[in-house]
Amino acid sequence: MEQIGEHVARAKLRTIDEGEVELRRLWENGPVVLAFVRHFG
Amino acid sequence: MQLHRELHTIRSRGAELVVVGQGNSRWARAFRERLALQNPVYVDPEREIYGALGMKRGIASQLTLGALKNYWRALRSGHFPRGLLGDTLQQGGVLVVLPGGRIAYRYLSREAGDHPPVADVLAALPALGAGVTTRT
Repeated sequence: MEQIGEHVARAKLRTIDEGEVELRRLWENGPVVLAFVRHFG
Repeated sequence: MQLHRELHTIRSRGAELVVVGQGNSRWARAFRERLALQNPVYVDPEREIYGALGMKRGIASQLTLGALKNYWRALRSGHFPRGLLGDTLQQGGVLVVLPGGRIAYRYLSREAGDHPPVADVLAALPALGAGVTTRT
């Protein structure tokens, strides 16, 4: 099964309150559906 | 975005739905409020992760007959775009990622308005340990 590379997993996302979180934190507690939207419009 | 309507089903299978967009936190906050989303929303400001995960970007994925059909379908279903924010050439996609970063499902949108069948995404959730399904 393909795995997300370490470099990508450590990339940072911004939260809605201007904080930051590493991508890999999102699947720490279980499976996650990541929906990448085209835009927020 | 259709997956937010399946939030209960996603969570009932022990998973979480996370929306990622491009731009800034203010846009993300407004998006989350407008759609009354109950799931987390994050921003990839420089689209670094979009690119690393293989999301398409370019005019070739924007001006297609399929994109026009998708746009028309969205209008007919009552979805009126409120304007494009950010990089308008960027396409999206959906991944199901398991603990450890294993990809159980990946769908890369070919053009504007191209979304994965919701049933396919949900089917990937209980299929833990199955092989990767990739469709571009």
